[in-house]
Amino acid sequence: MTPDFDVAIIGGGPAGATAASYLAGAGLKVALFESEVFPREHVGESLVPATTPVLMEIGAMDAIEAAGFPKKYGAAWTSAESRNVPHNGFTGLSHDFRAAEVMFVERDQAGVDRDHTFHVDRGRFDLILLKHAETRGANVFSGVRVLKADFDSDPGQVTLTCRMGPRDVDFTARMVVDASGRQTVLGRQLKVKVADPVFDQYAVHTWFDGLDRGALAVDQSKVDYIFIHFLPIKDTWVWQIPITETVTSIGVVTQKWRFKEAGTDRERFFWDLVASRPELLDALKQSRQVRPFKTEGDYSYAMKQITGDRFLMIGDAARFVDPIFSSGVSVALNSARLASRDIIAAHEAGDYSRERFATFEGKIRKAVRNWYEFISIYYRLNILFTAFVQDPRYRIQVLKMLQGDVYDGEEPAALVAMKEIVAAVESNPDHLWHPYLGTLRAPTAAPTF
Amino acid sequence: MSDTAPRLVDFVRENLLPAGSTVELDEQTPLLETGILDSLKTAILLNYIRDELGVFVSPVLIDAKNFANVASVAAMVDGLLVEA
Repeated sequence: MTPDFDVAIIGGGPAGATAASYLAGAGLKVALFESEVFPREHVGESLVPATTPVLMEIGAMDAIEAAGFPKKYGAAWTSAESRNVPHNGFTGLSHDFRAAEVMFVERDQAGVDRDHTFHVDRGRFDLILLKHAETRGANVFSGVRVLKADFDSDPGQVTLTCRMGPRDVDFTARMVVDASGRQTVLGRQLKVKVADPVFDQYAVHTWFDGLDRGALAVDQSKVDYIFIHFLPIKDTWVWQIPITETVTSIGVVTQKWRFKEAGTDRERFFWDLVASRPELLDALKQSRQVRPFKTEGDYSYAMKQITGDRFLMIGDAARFVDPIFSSGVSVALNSARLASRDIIAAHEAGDYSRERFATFEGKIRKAVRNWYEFISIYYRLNILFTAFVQDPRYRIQVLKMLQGDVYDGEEPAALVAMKEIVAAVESNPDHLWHPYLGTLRAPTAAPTF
Repeated sequence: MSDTAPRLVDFVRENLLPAGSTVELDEQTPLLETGILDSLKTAILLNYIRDELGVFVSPVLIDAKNFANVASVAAMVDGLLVEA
């Protein structure tokens, strides 16, 4: 029997919607099942420029530009390090370890034709992408949860059992793409999900209206960058992301055991951590919280397998490590792009076996490993990271990572240099940076999928 | 004879000594034990070395031995100049 669809996609977030746009645009018969009805709130509000080529390729960039999201020109870091550093008019080092900033435009990036990316309200952004998929011809089913994927009953197709209102309904497709985000529908069903042995971070976040975004900024012309504020607590930081002209997303990320140990509620925990940077606390207290606190946890994991006969996983459904470099939407979009190439070729060949998805798997595995190492080394460097950003020898290579430009298959030069230096600092107690190292240590063998 | 050491002494005296300090700085004055240099001020010193003396010091070299006093910093910088 002919399956209902060529490809069934689980999840209508940026990964699923982008894959649907590519596949429907190439003439495949696509069904996308989204369990919620958009718009809905979602964490992960800051993009990197590596999203630009994908948004342009699927034809969604005009709609994104027209939505008027705050433009993101770069990233900035601040730390509480202010131990009596006299400047005496010397300008050679703008802000020692206390701050650093970088602009995307400092490095040319293939396929990127503009100096900015965006900070987005994910409710609106995700809805634009999902509607775009629909205009490209995808059949979008909202409010429909996929309960399970049956690969065994009929070797020629996949049967998805979906909860539609009061009943369960089966649909068939030649293959399934899991874009279910951190719900990891297939990863859980197939039991291939592995929790990360090192990262067990925890985030508490909300939106504030009327926050003075320049309160901790060194350069007042850059207050609409994403800000990463290091807290003087190990492995703990705050994101500051503009959502509208007046609304700002603020999230605290720390190690989960701190929350368990604190034995308090999420609100109290948020304010206790933020209080470690009094100037940040003051700025937040003078603004108005406009959403309840939300938490995110257990988000660092890998999959033993991200492709198989008649399936593959993209975006967070394949892997997520940590929000530190705003990589989430970029990995979603770029993995959807790479997966779609292989799926279209598989469709043309009439063969949906695992080998067909090897190019996708190889590229995504390398890219995500680069992210993983970058994140690990970043936590190890802690505030020393700002020294790399300010050092002309490393700045452009670090920027390449920050732009999300990790899909060309090479080990980024910034990673090589950082690993070398971290190793030297770790092994030398007399090194002046030694006391500043973070506590999270990357395993010698990071998990692969 | 390299003028690195006297230039560094001048720079440290003018920029890194705390205001009102009575320290008589010379090439042998301990920098770390006295707190004249900490890791942050070291970053400022490295930028001076990079911008004014044209020498890149790898972060790997920022340890207590090389930054013990101005003489040791100068020796390291001159060593790097010879290599380059």
